[in-house]
Amino acid sequence: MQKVQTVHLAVSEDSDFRPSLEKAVADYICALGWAYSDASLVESSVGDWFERNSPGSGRFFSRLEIRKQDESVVLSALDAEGRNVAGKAL
Amino acid sequence: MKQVSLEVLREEPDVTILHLSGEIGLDLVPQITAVLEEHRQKGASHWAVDLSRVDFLSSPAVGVIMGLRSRVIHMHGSVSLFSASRELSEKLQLMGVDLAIPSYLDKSDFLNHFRWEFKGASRSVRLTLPAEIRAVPPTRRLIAGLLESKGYGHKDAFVMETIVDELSNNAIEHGRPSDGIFEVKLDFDRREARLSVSNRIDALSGEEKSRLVQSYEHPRVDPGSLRGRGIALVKKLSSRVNCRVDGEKVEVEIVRKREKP
Repeated sequence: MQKVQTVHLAVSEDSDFRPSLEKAVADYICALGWAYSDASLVESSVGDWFERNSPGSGRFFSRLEIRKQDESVVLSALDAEGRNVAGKAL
Repeated sequence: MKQVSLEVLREEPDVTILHLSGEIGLDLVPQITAVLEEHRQKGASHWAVDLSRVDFLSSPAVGVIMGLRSRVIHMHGSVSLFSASRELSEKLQLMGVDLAIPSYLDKSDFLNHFRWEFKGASRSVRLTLPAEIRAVPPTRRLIAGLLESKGYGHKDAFVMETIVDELSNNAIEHGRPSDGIFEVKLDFDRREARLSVSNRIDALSGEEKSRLVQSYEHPRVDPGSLRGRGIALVKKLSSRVNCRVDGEKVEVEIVRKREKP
């Protein structure tokens, strides 16, 4: 079986979903053992990234890719066509 | 530009928007009351107040909006606010308005919620995940969180967590996906949730395929066995279960009706 190190998350655009999605990103990174720092640091980095890209309770990216790459985890927001529109290496 | 105007939404004719502009003081209260009352008596039951151009909203004006809510609620109607500035949002919170009247980011956010609440609109979730057991806990927590964020109760969310857990574990453990991934799809509205978990497999013989489908249609629990209770549990917790084997893909889909809130 292939070893896959990518998670794709896509949810409907609904501002109610943002807290769960934000929490899930950090949750996947930690649960899959991809984090190179402790859980609270991962949560805070993911939270900062969401906040910078969609401040307050504003719109957020509803299609995300989390990818383990070499020594880091790359978080990407994708548009409807799957193009990368914002990213961050954790 | 008028300080008070009404608009029946072309894209959602059940909704009337009250546009306010500038400083909405006591002097404008009679005018607002009159236009709201006239339109309400013509049958308008779903209202949204556009606050995008409001610099100041006096408490008597808030009182008129609260009064409108009391009247339309008996007609199974609704009142919402949208596009309030940060300062205005804080003021409305201090007045406790947010406890009775929902407030949305903008018109599009309001319509999104209105269609969910009153027009049967659904929400979807699509996840593509590594076929590893440790991917399952965050998946079930995400599904439960999304359901709860749209008003599903704790019991519904817990049951769906259980179903996600069972089906995902089965897909990983028994499916042994050849491409190393499994997929979780969830579509839900206010009445029911439809969940599917799928994975790729090596091609099955006719007999293997039939045995797999049968295990979901007529699950059997062997009291002496330590395993094999998951499918029976899923069946018990779901309104409908369906297993499809299409070429090299196995997909198990369940439908579960939401419990009455």
